[in-house]
Amino acid sequence: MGEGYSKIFWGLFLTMFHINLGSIQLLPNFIGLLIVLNGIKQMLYKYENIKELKNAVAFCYMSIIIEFIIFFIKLISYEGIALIFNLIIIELGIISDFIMIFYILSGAVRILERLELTIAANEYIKNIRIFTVLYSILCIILAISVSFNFEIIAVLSIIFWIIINIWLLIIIRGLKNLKIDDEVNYTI
Amino acid sequence: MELNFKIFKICITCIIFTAFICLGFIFCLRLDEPVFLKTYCEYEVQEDVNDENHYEDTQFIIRYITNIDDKAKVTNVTFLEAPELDFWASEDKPNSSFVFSYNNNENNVIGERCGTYSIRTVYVNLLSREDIFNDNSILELNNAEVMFSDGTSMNVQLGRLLFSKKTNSTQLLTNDYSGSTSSEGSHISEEKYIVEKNLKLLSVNSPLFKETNELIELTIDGNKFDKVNNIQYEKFDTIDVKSRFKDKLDTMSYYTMYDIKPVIAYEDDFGNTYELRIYNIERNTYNLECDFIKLIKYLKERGSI
Repeated sequence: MGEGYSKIFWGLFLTMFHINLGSIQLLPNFIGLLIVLNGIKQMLYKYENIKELKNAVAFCYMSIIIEFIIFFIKLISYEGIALIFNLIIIELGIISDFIMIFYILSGAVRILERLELTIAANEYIKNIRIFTVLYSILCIILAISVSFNFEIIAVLSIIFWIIINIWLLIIIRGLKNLKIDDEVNYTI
Repeated sequence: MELNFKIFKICITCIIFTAFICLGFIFCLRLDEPVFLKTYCEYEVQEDVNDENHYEDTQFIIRYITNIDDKAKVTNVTFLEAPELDFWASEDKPNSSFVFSYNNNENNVIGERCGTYSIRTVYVNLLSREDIFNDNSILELNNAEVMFSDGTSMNVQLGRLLFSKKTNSTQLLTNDYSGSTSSEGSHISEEKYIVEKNLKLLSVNSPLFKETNELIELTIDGNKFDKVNNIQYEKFDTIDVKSRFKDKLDTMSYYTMYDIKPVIAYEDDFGNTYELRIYNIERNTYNLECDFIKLIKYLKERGSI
């Protein structure tokens, strides 16, 4: 179970951090997402024909394209970009990220079911349920905060974003460390 | 697992719905052109000390609201009532040293940001020249032609901007105390004068009283400003002038700039009339807190959105 999810873990970890040299992002988001894409493809190669992982690949591609567009716009600082176009791109990015992460986690559950680790699979299903609801609330708050710049909502959204992303990383780290032995030995 | 997918679909629908509503809001709230705040202000033009008919620069500000991503700045202002007058206009603070503005390109916002709008300040200077007043004692300007840095220009009704000559120093009175107190948010200005010779108050007048009547409180020794006719003062009496601008304003007045300088006319025993100006009755919009809802209400009342 390890290698694919290890790449996904590190890819998402990289997207969390923004290292800026002045106005240039040294580590743009799409580089992290490329690593995530690699990880998903690796899992797909190992366990074939998992519909969720195929969807995850599609939305990962979409996220990469959107992040690249955002990076490019910031890099050339095009002055004529209307606020509305900016917002549409950012909100599409938020939605695409959400769908991709959902499919990554659901793909993990499918793999666990295929390996007949049903107890672990059920635990993860519950986790994913709660996570989906919370992440979608985060997406809604982000969408509002990006459109209207109210200070309170902006601060709230950042704190919430950090918490949810740390939880996501913990879940994926759990998947990464899942040992597939004869014993049912798992950590969540 | 199926329940998960159901929840997922519901969540996606909610997010897309919210995104659409937010975008719809932003679209509706966009301004087609900048909205200039109304200005009802009186300004005093200083006469040159050496040359009687030559006037010095007079500085004032006008403010406007525009969309947050509007990159055009005001470059020039002319007034149609007096096209021969030259003005210098800029959105950068005058006399400030060159500021190395290295800002993160995410915050490339000009002016004060408030939600999806920015409130900008234009510093205007009526350049020194002779003969501003053309035999009138007051110059009233309203109709402005504003030019922006992207080449567009706009015709604006700014309100009433009144320029008058600076009056002479107080005669027959000495200034004893002048100051202001603030309590519970309201700002009271007070000036006390000691009478040197007998005088009689005639009237308190300002061209802007009509617009500001309900908004100011002005008392002279407790008498309201419109009831001071023929009040007599003798030597060594004190005249106590208290003025206050109301703090609870309705939406339109909240985003309007006021600065009135009423003139107290008085005469001595020989019938000579003198004038005394009252200052500090103003509402400037420098420290406007960002109240997005109020701003939207104001723009709706102005008919811009």
